[in-house]
Amino acid sequence: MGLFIDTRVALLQVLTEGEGYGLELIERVKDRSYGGILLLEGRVYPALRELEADGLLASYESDPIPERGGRPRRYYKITAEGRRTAKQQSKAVRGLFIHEERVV
Amino acid sequence: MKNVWSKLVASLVSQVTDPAAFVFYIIVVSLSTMGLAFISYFRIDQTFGKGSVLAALLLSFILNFLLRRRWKFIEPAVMHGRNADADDSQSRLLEIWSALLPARIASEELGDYIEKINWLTSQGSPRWIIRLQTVSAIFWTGLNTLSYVLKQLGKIKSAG
Repeated sequence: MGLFIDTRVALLQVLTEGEGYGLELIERVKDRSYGGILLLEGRVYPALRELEADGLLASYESDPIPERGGRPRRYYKITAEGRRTAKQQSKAVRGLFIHEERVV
Repeated sequence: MKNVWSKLVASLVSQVTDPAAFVFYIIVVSLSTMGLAFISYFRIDQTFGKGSVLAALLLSFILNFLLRRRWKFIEPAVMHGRNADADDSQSRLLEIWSALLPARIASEELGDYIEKINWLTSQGSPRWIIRLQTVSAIFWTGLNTLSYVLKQLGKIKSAG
């Protein structure tokens, strides 16, 4: 069973490593969580658009790619504001788990 | 004659078992139901009864059968035993589906699905996985389009 985590939090965290597009980001989350977090494809794209609308991400389109039926890929990269938010989220989540370890 | 009937039965069965055929059937049903409802309402008795729905379903079955005979790419594999290019028809179905989607969703989301389907095909993945991906692509892009349209309408309403 997959672990539960907000899609936007996961995407923002992996985008701190560098830019990426939808499919690649899903794989990155899966790899970085040792296969524990599996994002639903259909939930990823609205989340990326929301993050972009909030000013946490910026995006651009690549050249058309034949494997995609001549469509471009849309790459996302984190903004300075996004990086600050990702840092805060990371700190908050780590705090949560440190507390959990103390209790156990 | 027996061969024609067996092909017809196989085609009717595949309308609900083959995702590509099923989606195409839904499109044909919607269009023929709307057409018949329009005729019934404005030309006959200003009502929309069960008769119209049944006639639309029957008409759509026949239309679907005839159109799929005409356009080979949506003809099910069972019609003439072809299998090799059946997976390619999934990509083509998504190409048709993309015409109904907003540009960004068609380019970004559907593009990613098509890329994945082409990759799975090149890796020799089982056909049911590829068909599942197609169904997933249609479901999620449809749902996200609905959500996108509602958001846009909300923006227009709040601006007005």
